Amino acid sequence: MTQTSIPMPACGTQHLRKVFTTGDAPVVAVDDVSVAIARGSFTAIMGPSGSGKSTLMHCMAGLDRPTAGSVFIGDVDIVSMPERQVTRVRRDKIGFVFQSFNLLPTLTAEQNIVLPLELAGRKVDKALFEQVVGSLGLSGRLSHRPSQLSGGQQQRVAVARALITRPEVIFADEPTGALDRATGTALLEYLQFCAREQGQTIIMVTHDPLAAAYADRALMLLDGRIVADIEQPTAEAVLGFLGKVVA
Amino acid sequence: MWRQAYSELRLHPGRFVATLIAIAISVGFIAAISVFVNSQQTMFGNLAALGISKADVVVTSRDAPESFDRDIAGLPGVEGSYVAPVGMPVLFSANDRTVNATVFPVPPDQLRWSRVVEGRMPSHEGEIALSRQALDRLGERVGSKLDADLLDQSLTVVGATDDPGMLWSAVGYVSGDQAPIGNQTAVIVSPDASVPTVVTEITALAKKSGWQVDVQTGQEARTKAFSALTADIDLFKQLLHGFGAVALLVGMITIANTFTILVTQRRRQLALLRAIGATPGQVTRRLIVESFLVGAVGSALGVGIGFLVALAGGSVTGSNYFGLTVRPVELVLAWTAGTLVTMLAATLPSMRAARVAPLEALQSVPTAAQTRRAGVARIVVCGFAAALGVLCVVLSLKGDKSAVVWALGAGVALSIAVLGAAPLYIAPLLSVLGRMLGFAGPSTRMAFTNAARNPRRAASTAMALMLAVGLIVTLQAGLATARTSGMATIEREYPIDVVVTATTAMPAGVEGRLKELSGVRDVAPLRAKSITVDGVTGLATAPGEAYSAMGLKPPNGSIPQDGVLVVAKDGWLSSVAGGDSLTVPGAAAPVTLKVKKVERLAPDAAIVSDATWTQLKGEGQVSQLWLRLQDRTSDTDLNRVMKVLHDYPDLTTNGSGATMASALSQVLGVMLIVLSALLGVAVLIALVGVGNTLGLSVIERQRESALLRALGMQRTGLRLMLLVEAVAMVAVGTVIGVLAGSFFGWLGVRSVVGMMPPGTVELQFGLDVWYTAGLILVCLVAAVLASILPGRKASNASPMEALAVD
Repeated sequence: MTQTSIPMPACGTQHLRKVFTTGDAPVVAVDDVSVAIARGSFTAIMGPSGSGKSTLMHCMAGLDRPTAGSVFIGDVDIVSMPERQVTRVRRDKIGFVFQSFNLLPTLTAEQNIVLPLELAGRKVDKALFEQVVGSLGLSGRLSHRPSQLSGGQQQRVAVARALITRPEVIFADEPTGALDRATGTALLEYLQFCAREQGQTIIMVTHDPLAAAYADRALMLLDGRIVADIEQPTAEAVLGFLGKVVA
Repeated sequence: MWRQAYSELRLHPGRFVATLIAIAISVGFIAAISVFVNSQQTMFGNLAALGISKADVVVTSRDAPESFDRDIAGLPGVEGSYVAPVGMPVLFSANDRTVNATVFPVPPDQLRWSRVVEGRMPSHEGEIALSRQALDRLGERVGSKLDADLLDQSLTVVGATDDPGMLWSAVGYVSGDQAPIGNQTAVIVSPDASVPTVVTEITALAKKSGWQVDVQTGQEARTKAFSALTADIDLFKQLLHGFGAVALLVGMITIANTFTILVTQRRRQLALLRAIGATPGQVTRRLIVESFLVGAVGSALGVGIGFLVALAGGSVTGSNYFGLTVRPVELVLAWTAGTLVTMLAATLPSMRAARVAPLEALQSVPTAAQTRRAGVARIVVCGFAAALGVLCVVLSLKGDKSAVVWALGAGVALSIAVLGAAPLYIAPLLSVLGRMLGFAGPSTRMAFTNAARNPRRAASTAMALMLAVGLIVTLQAGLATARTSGMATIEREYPIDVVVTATTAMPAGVEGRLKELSGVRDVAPLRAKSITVDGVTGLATAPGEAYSAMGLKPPNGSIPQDGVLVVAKDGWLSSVAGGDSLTVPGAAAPVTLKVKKVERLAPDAAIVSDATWTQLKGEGQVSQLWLRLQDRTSDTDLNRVMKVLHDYPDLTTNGSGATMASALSQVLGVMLIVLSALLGVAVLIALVGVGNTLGLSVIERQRESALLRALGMQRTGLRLMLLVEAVAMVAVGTVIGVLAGSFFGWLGVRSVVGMMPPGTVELQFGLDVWYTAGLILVCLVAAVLASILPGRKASNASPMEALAVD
């Protein structure tokens, strides 16, 4: 699964630029980034605090508007779309997994999982639901509310919610940040499984080299630019690179 | 502590806005009542004292002759002494408009309080000067002629004065030809003399002459005139303050709810305070200081608002001419009440919040739904109150002498039960409704779960509305029930709208003229034959014919059996006892009638059946005309009839169905409007509370809103969600309020009627459907409005916030 073997990328950017103008001097958060994410790949976006990795992800996921450049989901440019349509793209083509789980406290696990489908007014694919829930080990927990679930279980509900719409791409923002080591490892293995075995495209923002090691590719960001693009990263390689940069 | 509290308010002013509004409206209402009523009192006082408004000294005498005035005028330092003019109320009408004016004899120049702005003061009988404003209101000018009801004559307007324009009363002047009446003498003291000296001199003079007089300075006399009015107005003011108390109570529920939400949101901040060493007492005190600041500012705003409202009210009634009467003590009391109520409302939530564990500061608290179990104590207390209430209802329905007391007890006990148990049933009710309406989509379904996620919050929001709406509907249902029952009774007892009685003979043409009037449905003549017994004449009538001519069933017992003569107990037939027989001349042969004496009948009336009447001797003359109107409550229709009758001075009309019906419906109508306006303030505060709960909940759920946006919910979806949530809460509160209010209103009237002798009034439940529907509609529209700002805030949540870590 390399970039060259798939002709059409799942998503990507061209000359993406994001400038924040709050305060006295404008801050360039993302500076001329062009990247293509292959279908079925598991990509980690890495970088120190303030490197612009979160801003890049926000722009790529249609959560924030870039100052210049294009963002593609599939072959459509979402930058030129009106807000209503971008919202629909988010709903239908993108899945999210957040650091702090972000489940609705009033809904049960099952209701949380199928919420994006409900918002879209789509029918639940029973087979897919059973498969996702079964593979995440949530079958016995579906009627529980988030407050009755452990952190790991809550994050698995969030992953199921991201998978249920068969999105083009899943964005995961520090998905293991609030989990203990063992639970975090299990989650990363599952994400890797989704990409490798099921062809799901996943982009993960993280600052943890061990997490990045589960990805097929690591993009290293510094001052809003991609300074390295590591294929099949290992924790050592990433750590070594970070050491170089920070030093 | 003060500075911390102050900076908290400075940092988050938005959170306190609704509390400020709620308290400002409550206090504003009370302040407005105080200033407005006091100003009206000043106006009436001034009106009552107009005659002595320029007097330096006022001498009120009981027995002193006119010559005493001349003696006073001769005293050193006295410039003149005059009989103070006394006003009398007169109704003027022109162009179908009426003005109630106090008419004075033209005062001597030295006592004049107003200036002539056009024409002159009247100098002959039949002339009048009126204030410019009264003339404008009548639509007349100087030179026109006016009808004056009490003076019984037509007057020519010869002048206009600059007397103040007032809603209730105007001022007019007639010539003072006749010797002025009045027992007060207004004394003008010359500029170089001192008033107290003159008072002493007059007192000494009166003592020497042996007259009983009161000598007062002008100021003292005017104050006395004011205070004579005080008792009545104070009662009125206390009644209005009762409504002020209701507004404060609803405000208190709203404020308590707001503080509960505010401190819940600040749990971590409070836990942090506890973690760095603050005792629960210190935390509580800090929160109460905050509530004091909010209450103080809100109440001050309220006093200002009340002042402006009173100013506006004064310009409508014209009392502003005499200035606003501000009693600082009452305003300070209003301010204190508002501040205390705010602090009181904040005390319990503050104490509860201060018990937060310091550890919570260190944990990330998810915005989990608070599903605390309902307290057993609540169930027991509410159950007890409900049982007590039902018992009181049963006792009240039995209708003994104290039915009203039982009904009152039932109202209080059931209100406690319904309001107190609100946290037990509001949330489940909302959940059930949400499930029923779930097909409408995820926005609607989530709106209901959101509304119900915090049972206490939902309950107290709905509770404030329940209380306010419940009170309004109680009064409304009570008035409507009183109205329908009263109308039914009038219809039964007095089916005839107007009875016109001729003292001699019915003038020809009256019947025809009345029949032509547009508001008159039927006119039927009632014929009478004279019966003379021992030189006293009674008028024998057979109403059965007239009833059937109008298509009416005669009221029970109003038509005697054949051969029976019904007369009044103390009426014309004093020589024959009830039950005895009487023989009178008949058409063919003498007729023997059995006399029956009843109460409540005209002294000269003698009622017989149709058959008996034809046997009596004589032709029969029309003695009465019976009228049925198209709409018996219509004043216009009744006035048209009266206008025609005005041309026939010999005709009289007695208290009949139309006058009663129209009076009843007018009195109840005015009461409904006034009470609705007064209680509307409470509803307004409750609706502010709904907006407030939503607004604060939205702040709390900012992250969730952002998440929903990230997951692909459109902005409109979020706005719809908030809208449905607001409508759901308001609908539940309003509907329960309407149901409870209808029942209480019915029970109240039922118990009053139950205390009357049986059969007097027929109880018919009434509810002004349009009024109630309008009330519900207003509440729902307000709910939609209340959701706009929170909805905007929620839908503007950036989806990126969902990804942020707190």
